[in-house]
Amino acid sequence: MRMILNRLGELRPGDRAHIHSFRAEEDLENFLTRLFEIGFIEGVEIEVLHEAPWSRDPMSVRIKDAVYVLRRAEADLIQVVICE
Amino acid sequence: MSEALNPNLKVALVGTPNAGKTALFNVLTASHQRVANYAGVTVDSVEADFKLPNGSTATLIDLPGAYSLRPYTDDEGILADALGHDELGAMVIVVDATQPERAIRFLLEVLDHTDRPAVVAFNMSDIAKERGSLFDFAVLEKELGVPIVPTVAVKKKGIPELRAALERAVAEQRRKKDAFFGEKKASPTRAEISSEILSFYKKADTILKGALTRKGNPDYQSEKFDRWVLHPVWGFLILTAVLGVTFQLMFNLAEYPMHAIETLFEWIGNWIKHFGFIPVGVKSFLVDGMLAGVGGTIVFLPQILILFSLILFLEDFGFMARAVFLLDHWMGKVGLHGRAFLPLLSSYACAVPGILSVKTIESRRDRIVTTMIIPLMTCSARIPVYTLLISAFIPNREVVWGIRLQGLVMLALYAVGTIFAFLMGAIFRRFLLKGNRPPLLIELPSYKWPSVSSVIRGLIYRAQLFIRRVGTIILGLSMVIWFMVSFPKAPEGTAHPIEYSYAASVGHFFEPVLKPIGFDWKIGMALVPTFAAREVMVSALSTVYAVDDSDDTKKTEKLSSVIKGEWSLATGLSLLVWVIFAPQCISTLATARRELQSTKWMILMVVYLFALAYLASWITFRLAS
Repeated sequence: MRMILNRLGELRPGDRAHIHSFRAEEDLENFLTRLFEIGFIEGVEIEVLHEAPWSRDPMSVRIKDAVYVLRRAEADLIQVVICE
Repeated sequence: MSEALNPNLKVALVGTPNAGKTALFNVLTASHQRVANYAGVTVDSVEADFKLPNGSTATLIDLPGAYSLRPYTDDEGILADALGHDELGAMVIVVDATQPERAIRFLLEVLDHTDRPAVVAFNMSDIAKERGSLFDFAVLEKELGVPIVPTVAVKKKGIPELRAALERAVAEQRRKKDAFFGEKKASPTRAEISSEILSFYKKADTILKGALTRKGNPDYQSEKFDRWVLHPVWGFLILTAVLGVTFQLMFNLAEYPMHAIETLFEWIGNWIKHFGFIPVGVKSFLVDGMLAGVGGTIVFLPQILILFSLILFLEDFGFMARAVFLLDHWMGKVGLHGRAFLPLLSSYACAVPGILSVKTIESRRDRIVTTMIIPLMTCSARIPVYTLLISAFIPNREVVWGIRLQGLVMLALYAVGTIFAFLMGAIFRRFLLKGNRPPLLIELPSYKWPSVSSVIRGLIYRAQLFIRRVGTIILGLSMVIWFMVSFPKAPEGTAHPIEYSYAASVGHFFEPVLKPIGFDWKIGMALVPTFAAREVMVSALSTVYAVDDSDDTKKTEKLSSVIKGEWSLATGLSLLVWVIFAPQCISTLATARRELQSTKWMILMVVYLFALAYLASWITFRLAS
């Protein structure tokens, strides 16, 4: 199994990955905490489900059993390892 | 142990979003809900009484849904405060059984926060079961130290068990609080917060290892549905169709109840006039002062209720979150947050509930922008004024294929308001509320059929808000306005007694300012009462032009022909444009001030709307004359 480190924002619908780490960004601390609280935790599997038509932004991802919507700009704060 | 139960026992209903909290609230409380301002916070919460199995009465307080006690939105902010409140006797915690990890983490956090007696409603347990999950509730109860009742709130399952469990929990008084993770620090660092969250999740994982005997599938059904709803082409077509049907229903369906309300108020007016022993002045105060003002506003209730029943339905169904998903990028182009969609849509009925729903937006900057542009959305109170002016000044000739000019103009007025709302949003973001767009984070809940009772309860809440506004602000101002047009008394035998009134003086006072936009002192006089509410303009104009109201059905037609004779076309169009922009509703301003906690922004709202109205009317008047 190969390990490729990507930003979540680069993924397309159908891609699956595991959360690797977070890029800290000072003014988005509360946002990162909230992501943490709803289950965006290192090691957890994440699957990209949909992207908004035309703009391809925001995107929806499944984490555990829930589906969340986030914009690619913020999804880029999440480093993921793609499952292959 | 019934003596141990305080008759006014206060029970907080706490839960994660989309866990069915509102549905549970509705099945637990049979009696009427009240809108209450809880613990001095500005967020309205709903409460209602309910009975425990032993017959004692308790009050259930519906607190806003939250993913955690660490507030991220204002709405969530009140939760931690409310749970620490002394009066609180117990809690019912609702969690979503289809999201076990998140549910247990939330439970651990809440149970760790307070030692109040608590019961857990493990809601949507039927869906969890359908998807293949199996729980060992004995293990869960042992690990968490609280009774756990599997419930299906929309099907009223598990409710008696929940009541019984609550009664037992309250009777045992203080819960033995296992401090799961020791004492909390007053202001933890980010690393400490992260490790706390992580330890909650680790604990949740350990608990679920024993309690979740079989893990179910994710919600593939909703995903299949989303392939259509979020489709590049179909997605937008579905959204357009949904909005189209919504507006059709709002206008066509509301016609009949609106007519009934008008007839009722007329009947009451005639009934009061019928009594000989009431002095004429008192009759006029009752009928022209109070009844006309209240009736003129209450008539919009059907439209508001129809729009909100559709909005509540779409929200419960799970569609609103998808609409945000589809529109976020495009709303971002004008600096708006995707979540602004719902408040803006609500504002087509009435700006007040629109502004009240702004608080689900996380950042204050986005809340301000959205609130500031809401008054430009065409609320239903503008319709009678538009109808009057269009019928007087726009010829009803056919443009093409049976489409008539009057209808087109009406549509254009809606479009102009909406376009300017977005334009002003972009301007505010560009110059006054600069800064990065705050992040978007919403959940796409599973699609589900909304329960009728939950939609009805939501409607009652909004109707209460509306009626409260009519009973206070509108009623009060109607009386003030009546006084202004009735006093001082004109000498006997004058044809137009109103010309001697205070309102006339105000009209004359403003005439020099209003002249450049084509308004004379009479229109100025009619504009005074419209600050209470736009819809008053029609009755104010009939008072000013002394249109005989003996036959009310013909009143608007008569008024239409009178103003057609009195005003130039330019004046009529100028007034039409004025109504799009001018801030003419005191309750909107009051609500904006209260929700934004800022007088400064409210004043800016008044100033910019007046400036916009004046400028647009001036241009219109110039071009048309």
